[in-house]
Amino acid sequence: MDTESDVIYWKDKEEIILKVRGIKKYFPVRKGVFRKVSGWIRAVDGVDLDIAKGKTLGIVGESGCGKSTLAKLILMLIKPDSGKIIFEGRQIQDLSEKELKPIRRKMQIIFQDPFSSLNPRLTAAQTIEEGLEILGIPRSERRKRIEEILELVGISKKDADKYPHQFSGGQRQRIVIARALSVNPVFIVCDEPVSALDVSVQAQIINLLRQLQEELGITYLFISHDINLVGYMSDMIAVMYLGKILEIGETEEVLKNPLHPYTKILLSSVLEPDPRKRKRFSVKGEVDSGDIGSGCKFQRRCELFETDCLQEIPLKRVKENHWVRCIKTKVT
Amino acid sequence: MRILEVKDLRLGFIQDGRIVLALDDISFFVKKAETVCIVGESGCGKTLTSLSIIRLTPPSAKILGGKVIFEGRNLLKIPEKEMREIRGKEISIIFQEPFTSLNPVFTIGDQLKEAIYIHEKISEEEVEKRCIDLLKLVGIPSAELRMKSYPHQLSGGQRQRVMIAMAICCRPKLLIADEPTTALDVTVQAQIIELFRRLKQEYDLSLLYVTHDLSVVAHIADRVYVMYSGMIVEEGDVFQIFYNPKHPYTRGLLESIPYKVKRKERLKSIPGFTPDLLNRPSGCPFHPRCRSSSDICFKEKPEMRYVENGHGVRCHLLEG
Repeated sequence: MDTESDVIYWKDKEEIILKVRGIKKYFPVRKGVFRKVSGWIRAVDGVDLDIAKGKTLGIVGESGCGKSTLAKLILMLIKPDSGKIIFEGRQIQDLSEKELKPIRRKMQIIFQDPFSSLNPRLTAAQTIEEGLEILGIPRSERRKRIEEILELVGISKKDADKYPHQFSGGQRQRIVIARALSVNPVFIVCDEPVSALDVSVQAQIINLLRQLQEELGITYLFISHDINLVGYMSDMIAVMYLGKILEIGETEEVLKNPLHPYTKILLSSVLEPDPRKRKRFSVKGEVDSGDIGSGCKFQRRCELFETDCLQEIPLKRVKENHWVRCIKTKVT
Repeated sequence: MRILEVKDLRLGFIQDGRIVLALDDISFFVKKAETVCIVGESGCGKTLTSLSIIRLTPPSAKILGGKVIFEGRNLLKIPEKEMREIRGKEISIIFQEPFTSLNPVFTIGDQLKEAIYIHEKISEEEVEKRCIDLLKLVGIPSAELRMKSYPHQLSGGQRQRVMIAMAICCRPKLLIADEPTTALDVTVQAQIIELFRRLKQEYDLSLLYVTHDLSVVAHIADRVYVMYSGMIVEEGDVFQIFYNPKHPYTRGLLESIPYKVKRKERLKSIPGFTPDLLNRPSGCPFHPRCRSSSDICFKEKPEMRYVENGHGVRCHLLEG
């Protein structure tokens, strides 16, 4: 059993389902004829996280910030270089594939693209049945359970024997969700779950995810580039940039009172669907890529940069419910 | 002055020996120096509409009627040779994917220069200078060096900037942008939108901006056309559309955005899903998803009715 009792980011009374400590994943950059390693992409560069049971942690960040790699690490789809992943009190980062198997069914993922994440040769019912088989539910009971799950996600049971191509994008995403639910998971990673869907359909899926959380008490890690959406879905929000969490805190607090210079830029770039709130933007600046040396990951773009920013900067608690990785932020 | 006017455009696809109507009586106009947004979801025909303006629709699509009047000429009737003169010079188009719109084996400079040489006979030095100025204008750092870069050496945002530079290199009168920021990150999207705003000011450009993103529309549009399944269902200035939407679809779309919604509340959603253009519902195409549809809605196609100056709605249920 894990002995680390220090819970970060959540109130003491919450039951923590997932802890991540100092997790790192570097990918080699190879060059030349001999594919010699010439550098490293620090996709996830020391992330600490806690997620409380039945709650949602949102992760925002732009492409290349490492949010999807983090999700894959948490699910042990790729092995971390270092760090710990503690799921329901048990360290899982060093477990063998066999030992992981019973844990895997408790953690599920919903990907962005409902078109490529379903097997085109399996009907909706067969897709869900695979999960039930894993649970060891006898064949005679499966059909009833399949229909229950389909009803839960809003697919009519008369459509159970249709193939993925016979469904619309939104319906397919419902089947993906149904498949995830088939093994009774306690934790689901939603990696851009509605980005591929039409605006009018997005809201249906988001409502479904919320309803499932209320009814089944599922915990979510919710990843999206849409800040309005993450704000709506999450209890807590983490801002990532080049593999590090730069700011984390309760959703409302972070969105109303962003402190890290990057978070400020990110939030000010969000367009509001209101023609009276037009903004002017700076046309400069781009997301960094590649390897930033030591210190703050945002050093190249930051207007407040000073030499002290080249040191390793800890995530500092500035308020009861708000942490920032920036030396220029004063504790209030 | 109307620089572009599309009138009763009808377009169909040939399928199994019959014609399926995909664009149904599309009418809209763009005034000089105005930004007009066509907003709609996937499969509503917005891209098809923009492609028919410059006659680049796929071969299976047939224009069945209507006019596309650009500076007094009906573009649907002029010979292909004349059309080629207009494309790129008078009317330019920018597509969504900055990754696939550039040729990977030529440098940025070569591709920019080519775009100018096609339409203008000017000296090499002049072209070189104009290209560098253009790259600077669209906000590409160290423009002289970037001329020699290949597309893969640029980021997505920079590639889209190059596409914009290429689109405006011959000072077109009308720029059509089809989801130009959809593939980009939020901060880059904000920059590109700012760039469009500046270009419009400097060039007196008329912009037809096609998107699914209402937040972008709120930000740049002067006037808006809302499209649903091959039909314009509502039109008006940006304030009429955002503050006084009349069509159930426009309302539903605006309400389904998770903006200023409390965490305890549910989002409002539109039931059902967006139909396929080849399988458009009868009458009012929105009727299967409309909460207040009645008999007439699936029998008869609604006509555009104007409730206010410039604010038109195609809905049978509209009062008055």
